Amino acid sequence: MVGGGEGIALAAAAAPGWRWEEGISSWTGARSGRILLCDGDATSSREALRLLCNCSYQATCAKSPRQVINILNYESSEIDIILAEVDLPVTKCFRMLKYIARNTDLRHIPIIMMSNRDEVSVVVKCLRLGAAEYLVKPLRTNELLNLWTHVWRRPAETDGKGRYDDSP
Amino acid sequence: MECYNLQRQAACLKRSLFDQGYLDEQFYQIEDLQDEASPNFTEEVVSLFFKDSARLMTNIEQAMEKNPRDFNRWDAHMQQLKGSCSSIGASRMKNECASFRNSCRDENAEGCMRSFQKLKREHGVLRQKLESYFQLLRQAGPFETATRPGGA
Repeated sequence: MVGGGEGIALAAAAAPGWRWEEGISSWTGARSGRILLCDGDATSSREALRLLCNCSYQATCAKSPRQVINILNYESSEIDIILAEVDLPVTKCFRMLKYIARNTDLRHIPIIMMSNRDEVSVVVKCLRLGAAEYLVKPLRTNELLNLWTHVWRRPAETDGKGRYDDSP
Repeated sequence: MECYNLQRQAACLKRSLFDQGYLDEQFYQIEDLQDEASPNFTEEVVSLFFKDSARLMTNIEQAMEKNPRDFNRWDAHMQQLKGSCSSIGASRMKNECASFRNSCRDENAEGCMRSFQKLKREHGVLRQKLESYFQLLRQAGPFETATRPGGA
């Protein structure tokens, strides 16, 4: 288990680019966040949704990269993490990764891949295309509990929420 | 015959929930995950939502009673609730959450309180309507009900 809320807030205060609002979220005891889940398989989606809800995430589900992009177009500022199955199929998944990486409004969102397969070539390609992590199914609760940490691992030049600050 | 009528009542109730803006497309996403292997999945998710949202609303209520007013904290709590609402397609509630957050940004406590009261009402109404919906489904029996109104 990650340490108490206060400890997280203090540790985060030392990190470059950290913002007060994020500290508040951790103070409310919520190791939380809004996750956009993308999985074409119903059984797998149900399992993931249950696990995510048990971890206190707010999980929105989508079945395809197109739905993911639609949801992102409406709500990009409020999605904290994307958790996507690789086999959407794989070619569509790679296209989705490229699209998100190129989009200035979306690329700050950490993308976590998940799959039944663990072929090195697929893993490497996902990571090269910008995925933050690759999880092999079945998903484990402790892996999901730690997903929120990706939201904090943002480079210093962003405004702490991972958005590149383009103000003068 | 009896069964079919209950089926139709459930479908009508669902359609009215969409027509009146209580629910949006995201609710269908959840229903789509339901099948013979998990015939009560939608109800399961909805019931988790109401448990979670009740807890979040209690947190918000407690935060709002504190002095001095901490709009950042109120907003952070409400962001979670909004995310939860979006996830099951609780559209009216989601909009009210957005309204609350706007009031937070303006540091308008009155506006926040009004929004929160509305939110509580919407929460209660939605819960009641969805309970009726699931009850109808249960009475109607295990038939395919996750159908969308034509063209959706």
